[in-house]
Amino acid sequence: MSIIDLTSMGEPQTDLKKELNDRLTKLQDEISDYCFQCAKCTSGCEAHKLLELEPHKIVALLKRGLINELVNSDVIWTCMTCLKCRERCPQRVAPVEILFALKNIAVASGKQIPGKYTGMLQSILSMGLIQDIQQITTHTNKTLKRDELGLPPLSKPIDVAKFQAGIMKIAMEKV
Amino acid sequence: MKKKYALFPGCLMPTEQYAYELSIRETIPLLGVELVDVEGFSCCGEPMKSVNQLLTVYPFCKESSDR
Repeated sequence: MSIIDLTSMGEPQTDLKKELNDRLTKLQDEISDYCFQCAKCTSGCEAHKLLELEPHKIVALLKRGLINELVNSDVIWTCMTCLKCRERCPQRVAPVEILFALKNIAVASGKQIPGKYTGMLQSILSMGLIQDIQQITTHTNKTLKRDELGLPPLSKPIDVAKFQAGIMKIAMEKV
Repeated sequence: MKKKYALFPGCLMPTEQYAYELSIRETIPLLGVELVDVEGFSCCGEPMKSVNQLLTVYPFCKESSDR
């Protein structure tokens, strides 16, 4: 199973879109009204330092109804869900929830997920982790792997087919 | 009786940030707690939340449903 199967789910798509739109309307009409653009979320944003994500601007754009522009932009995919914006917001607006809603709508309306992101999703589907075991370099310039450090072997999902079927079931049945 | 604790190392700790896991395995037993490794471990699947809000539910509940 690939991530394409997961994003193109056929029939339930209309229900899904309605529910997503309701969620976004609620965020747009009620929650984003509390935002007074203090930019505390942006000043703490991990993705802002490297990738130019500015959560307070996302909230402002949502308030002005520029939803299509946001959904079609790549910048919403740079959020790494550290939840700092939710922690820092004095008005409890939580830009991260807005970003989740926007990303869900982008997927539901058939927009392509950026390449590296697809890789992570594919990796979760195939082995239950966002990346495989990596090599590291110690302070003495040795390259070591997990087992060479005396760590026990990592247990991955035993039955991969069952794991994928479970995820697929949730994706198909109820959103 | 010794207390048991199921370790959930997440996704980066067991694949890249080995120092954290090494220090957990070193210190927690000194406090008299036995660490248990979860069979068939998977991470929380956070990136999937962007595809669909409920998709991460499955990796979370999987451990209990498998038994």
